[in-house]
Amino acid sequence: MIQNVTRLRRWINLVLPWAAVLAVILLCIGGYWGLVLSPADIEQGETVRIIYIHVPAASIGLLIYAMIAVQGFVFLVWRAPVADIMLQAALPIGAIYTFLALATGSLWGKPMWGAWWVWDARLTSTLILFFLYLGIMILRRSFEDQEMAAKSSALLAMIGGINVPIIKFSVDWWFTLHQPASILRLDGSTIHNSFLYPLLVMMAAFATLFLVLWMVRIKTILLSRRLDNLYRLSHQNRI
Amino acid sequence: MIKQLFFLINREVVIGWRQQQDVVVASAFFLVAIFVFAITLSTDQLLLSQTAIPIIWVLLLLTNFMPLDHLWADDWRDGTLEQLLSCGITGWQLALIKALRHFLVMMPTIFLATALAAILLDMSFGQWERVLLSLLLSFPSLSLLTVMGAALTVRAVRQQLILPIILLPLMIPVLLFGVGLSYPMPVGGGGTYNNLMLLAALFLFFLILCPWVSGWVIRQG
Repeated sequence: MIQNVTRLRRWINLVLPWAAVLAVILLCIGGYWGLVLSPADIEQGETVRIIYIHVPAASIGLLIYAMIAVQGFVFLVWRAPVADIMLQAALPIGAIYTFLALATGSLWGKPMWGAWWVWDARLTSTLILFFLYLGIMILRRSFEDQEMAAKSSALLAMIGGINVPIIKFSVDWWFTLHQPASILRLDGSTIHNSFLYPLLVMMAAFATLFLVLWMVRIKTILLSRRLDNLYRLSHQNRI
Repeated sequence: MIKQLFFLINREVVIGWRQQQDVVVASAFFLVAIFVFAITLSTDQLLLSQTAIPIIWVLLLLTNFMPLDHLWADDWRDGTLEQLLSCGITGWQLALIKALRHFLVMMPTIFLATALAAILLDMSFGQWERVLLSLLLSFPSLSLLTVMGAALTVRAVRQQLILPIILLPLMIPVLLFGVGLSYPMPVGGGGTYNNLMLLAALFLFFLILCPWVSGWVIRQG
């Protein structure tokens, strides 16, 4: 375990500065391209630009959840403490991404749909995803025993991972107001290239930004655990 | 082995029966909450009978979390749980039995509560029947999920507060189809038959998943 952690830390120290630079560059390019260079939509006008935040936040937020579920599985099956640290580090970032998607979506919904919130299938399932994030984070904090906290939250992440498709499918039985998937489709993307390219850049930017924040948080957690251990050791010695 | 299991079921049922207080308290809570609804919503009979179904569902979901501190925590605290597990009872068998007990405790509450609600909220007999049936069909799945949540949080500090936050998102599929059954014309999606089939599918799914997960969790630590 110590070997793995040391290797992880070394790897993070190596990659982090480059990833940070890349994230800043991608955010600048994507932001300028999306917010200034790309054209306004015929129907939606300037409000269309919110997709450059909304879509990347939503899809990366979902992706992070899938990753968390896999990490929970890895932690429970192989007892790899590294997986637990990675899971713990990714949780709040994923929650914030999902929240960002909900918030920007509702900002867009007010002028377009005439309401901050509608109970549409995709909105509902994103909200449930946000609740799952919250639930795992709260569950994690409510144990005194760290081992038990790690196991329970990993398990809940996994159950949520199994449940997310079911929730999505069941919620889809309601009527749907949100536009259907338009980027990843078998017959090619349905949105125009002048919107698509900046959007893809922003997606890459959000993914890289996640990686950067994730690595910083992993580093912090590793340090704080080391601090705890040192504290405990010094306490034991005194007794 | 079978004898052992029957003994365990018997034990759970007896314990559940002796805690009649749970049913009484839950029903009393239900009654008071309906009173609050009548005050805050309106005393208009028509409006109340139209909103009766959501009121009943919401309140029953909340009462569902009330008798939980007895479910695993008592056995865990006094060491019964460890003894049973070391006697060769597997975790999932125990979880299944606990789910059965939770359902058996909830059933009288459901009967009492919906009957009270039907009177107070001016529901017709047919409406009451429909709601009762839909509740009885969805609560097995909800009980399984609840037992799993209770097992997950046995060692947590504020179990009562965390549980609804963790469990309600997972309950949503059951809720969608269960509540759909309460209405003569289901909202959205398919008809009664579809809802029934989907509820059955969800029940089978949770029947596999939940006891297994709760058994695993309860054996830890």
